[in-house]
Amino acid sequence: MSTPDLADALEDRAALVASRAASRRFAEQHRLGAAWRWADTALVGLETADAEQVARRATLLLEDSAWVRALLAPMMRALDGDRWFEPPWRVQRDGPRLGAVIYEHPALTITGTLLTHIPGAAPTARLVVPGRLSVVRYQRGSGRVLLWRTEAAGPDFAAASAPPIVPIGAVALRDGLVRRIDGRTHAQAIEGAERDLVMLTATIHAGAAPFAREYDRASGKLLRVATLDHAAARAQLLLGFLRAAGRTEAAPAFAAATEAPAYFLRWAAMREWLALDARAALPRLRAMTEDANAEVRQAARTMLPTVEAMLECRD
Amino acid sequence: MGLFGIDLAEIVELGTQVAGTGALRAGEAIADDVFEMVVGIAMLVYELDPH
Repeated sequence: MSTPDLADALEDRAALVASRAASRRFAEQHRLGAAWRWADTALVGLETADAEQVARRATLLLEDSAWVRALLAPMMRALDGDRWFEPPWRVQRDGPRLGAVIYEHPALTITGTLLTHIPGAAPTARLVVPGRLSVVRYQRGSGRVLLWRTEAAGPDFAAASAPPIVPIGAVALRDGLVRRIDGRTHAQAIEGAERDLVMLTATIHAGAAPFAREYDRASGKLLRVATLDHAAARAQLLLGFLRAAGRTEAAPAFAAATEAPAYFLRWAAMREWLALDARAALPRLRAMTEDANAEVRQAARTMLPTVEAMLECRD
Repeated sequence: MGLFGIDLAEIVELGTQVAGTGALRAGEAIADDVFEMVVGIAMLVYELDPH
């Protein structure tokens, strides 16, 4: 839309109000629609199923082109008839990638992605092993998807001993292709596309790896690790805040976090506690010299004599 | 014996540095974890000092 067109449109207040009301009505009806209810029925009983069971059902759903059309068509029609229509989706734009959550269920999330074709774009230099099993339908597919594989990351994954990622081949893409990618062990990159790509991705919640990992494509070496444990990440942030706010009365929260299942949270909590109140943290620091995780044990054993000496000087 | 905290820079870190959720974007899932965390912090700040 050109700038004068936009200015005119923004002045047409009645049209904007009507569009907002229509968008709200659509959002209210969206989850009551046939396509949404069909998916709910297809996934019934899978709320606590394992990743394999959910992936099989997701594959059947995404292979059903009539269902895909039924899910998308009402919104396409609404967008076609009203440029101010707001689909009831969470949307994310990231460079040439435009994504939106189009269906949610306790067992999986289906996102729609438009990847704009940029002729001559440089191939990606970094590869992400996202940590979750997914099933992808290439609604509009061209080019090929290159694949890499590495070992699964367990809860005690250590960067120092991480094996590299290695290329394992490529699969040609075409319209309507549905294929599974195990993001717990695999990374992918699409290259050679001749036009925009449109994908529907069912990301399976069950059986997720503890971490997402990023690798250097050229060398295959591990670059970065990020947790997929939302609660642990949130706890780490909040403990940092409590330390910064000087909340010594939160000692029970620090103590509990030093016994969390996620090893990186145990040590992150100890670091924050030592920075807040080293004397209160000392007994747990001593106990952590026998932690189940080797990196935590090593860190605690390194810090213990230092902390004891510092406290002795102050007593 | 007063309160004594150690400078964070003097406390060793693990060999494996683990970033928070959403730090790596694979383009497959939409993550608004950062937003949720900001809301979490805002709620905590409010609870500590509602006025």
